[in-house]
Amino acid sequence: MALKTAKQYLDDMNKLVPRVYIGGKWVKNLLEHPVTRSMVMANSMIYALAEDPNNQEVMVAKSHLTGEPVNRNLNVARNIHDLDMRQEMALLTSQTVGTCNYRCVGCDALNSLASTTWEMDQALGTKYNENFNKWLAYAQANDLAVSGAITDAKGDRKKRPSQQDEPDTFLRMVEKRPDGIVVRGIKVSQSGAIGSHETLVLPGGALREGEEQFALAFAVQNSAPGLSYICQYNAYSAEREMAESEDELGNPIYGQRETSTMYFDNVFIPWERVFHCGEVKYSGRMVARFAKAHRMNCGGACKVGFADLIIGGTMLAAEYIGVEKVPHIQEKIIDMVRFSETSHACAIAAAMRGREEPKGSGVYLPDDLFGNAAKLNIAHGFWEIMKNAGDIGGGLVVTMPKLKDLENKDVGPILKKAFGAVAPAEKRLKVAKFLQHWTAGLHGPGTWHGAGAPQTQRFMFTVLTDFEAKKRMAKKLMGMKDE
Amino acid sequence: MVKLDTDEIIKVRAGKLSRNYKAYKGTFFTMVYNCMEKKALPGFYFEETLVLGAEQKDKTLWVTISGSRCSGDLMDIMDIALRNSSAFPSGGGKAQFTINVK
Repeated sequence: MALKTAKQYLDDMNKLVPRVYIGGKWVKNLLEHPVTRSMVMANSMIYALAEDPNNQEVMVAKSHLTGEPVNRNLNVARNIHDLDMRQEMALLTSQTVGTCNYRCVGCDALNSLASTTWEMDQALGTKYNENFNKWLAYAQANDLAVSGAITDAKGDRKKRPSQQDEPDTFLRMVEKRPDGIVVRGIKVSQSGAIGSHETLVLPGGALREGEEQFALAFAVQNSAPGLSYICQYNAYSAEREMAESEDELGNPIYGQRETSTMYFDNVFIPWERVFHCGEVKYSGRMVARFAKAHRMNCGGACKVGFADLIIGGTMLAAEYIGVEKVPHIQEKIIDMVRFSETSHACAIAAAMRGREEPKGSGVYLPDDLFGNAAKLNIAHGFWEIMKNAGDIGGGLVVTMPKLKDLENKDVGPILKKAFGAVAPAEKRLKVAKFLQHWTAGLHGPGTWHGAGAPQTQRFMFTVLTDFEAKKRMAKKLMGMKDE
Repeated sequence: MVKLDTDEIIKVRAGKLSRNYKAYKGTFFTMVYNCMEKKALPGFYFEETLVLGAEQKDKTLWVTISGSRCSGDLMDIMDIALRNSSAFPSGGGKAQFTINVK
């Protein structure tokens, strides 16, 4: 079996029992809690997309290890076309579920590992790439849902990992054994690990000599004893828990983006699953390569898919009250498209200018500058898109009553009179709820911070831009001669 | 394409019942660590006293589960534990490792 069906994935999830805590409760079955269920259902749709014959080019790739068809979420990009289809997959999945493709971070992590483990083996004579390829072939053969965990809790930012008062703020190795390692610490803001079969863990950033215990990359099963997940909890979690049915929610089936804090309490990782252990020189580039891939996909494609949904909802809101032809409304919608498509253009450029990295590895990574441009552009553009959606959607987006109130015998008739316009009240309120999900939900800060806050992209611009060359061009055109 | 040696076959035995599981390499020793050091099985975090004891000799692990349970129930417990280790039931193949559960 190289491609799992959505049903097979859901069957797996019925049997997987990770140690998950949410809003004051421990969860024994992810499909029975309304919030964790939304995350699992989103992942199941990612499997379903790969079953659809219309999506084969985007969602299915050929394994470079076995030659078998594999879900693109488990594919290592081997050429420009792979990179292009990878960003198209991010677009398609976002357009379809309106939340995370929870296999996305794992996909970008495995591409970074394919590249960096190859480099380590070449330089150091290690066996990490061999281990990684074997693990990947197993994951591909069983079409495992793989998430990624990168960000450490980090504690006091002025201090290095080993200087923290609370050592668990950085994931680290606490025991090296003949059969494997034991790890301990905390990773945060992790998207979708709870409903994955496994998680790829990478270092949180560049490391220095003396910090070898933090230089770790490995694959871990999601129910490993000692591993706990404390899920995010917010107004949208509470609303979903309280709702009589999913129909009354902004994104009924798939919900908001669900993340968790992962606590590793002395978790054993056998050597076969360890892909980096102590080689601090390579930690930074492992993270940088992950970020390079993720900024193209998360910034320039995933959020563009979200923007498509917001733009669609906003146009419906305008049509339902008869303002769709008003010039300033049209102008604002065009601006939304401009922000969105500019970011997508950057992602396509990042794919097209991608290259093998490092030379000889066979692994293709996107262009760094365009990937960072995609992410930085959408980080700012997404707020503008949300602003225009809120503007055109009107105050109703946040002042609306509960959708179910339309069915109430006492207030329903009043609400239907109040909110009926070109379209009936049911449609107006439904689209207002949809826009509430986007504009008054978690997606603004999520887009800002996902794949790294904008300051990291600004820093990369300073590193990647040849400012001296630009000054030389200007001087040449002006006829200015150097002394 | 090179055939990658990715799998280990683990035989699970409870009384007269047995079943093979195909797992990624290292899974058996992960089970050994979890049963012996943590007294825990993957997928059973809410049953803290499930594993009473465990012993390992070479490629065989003996696990003692709490309560009076029939072989079928023990196999069901191990099925969940193995699936929570990314291992899946497998018909064929010669087992390299054995887990005896009682």
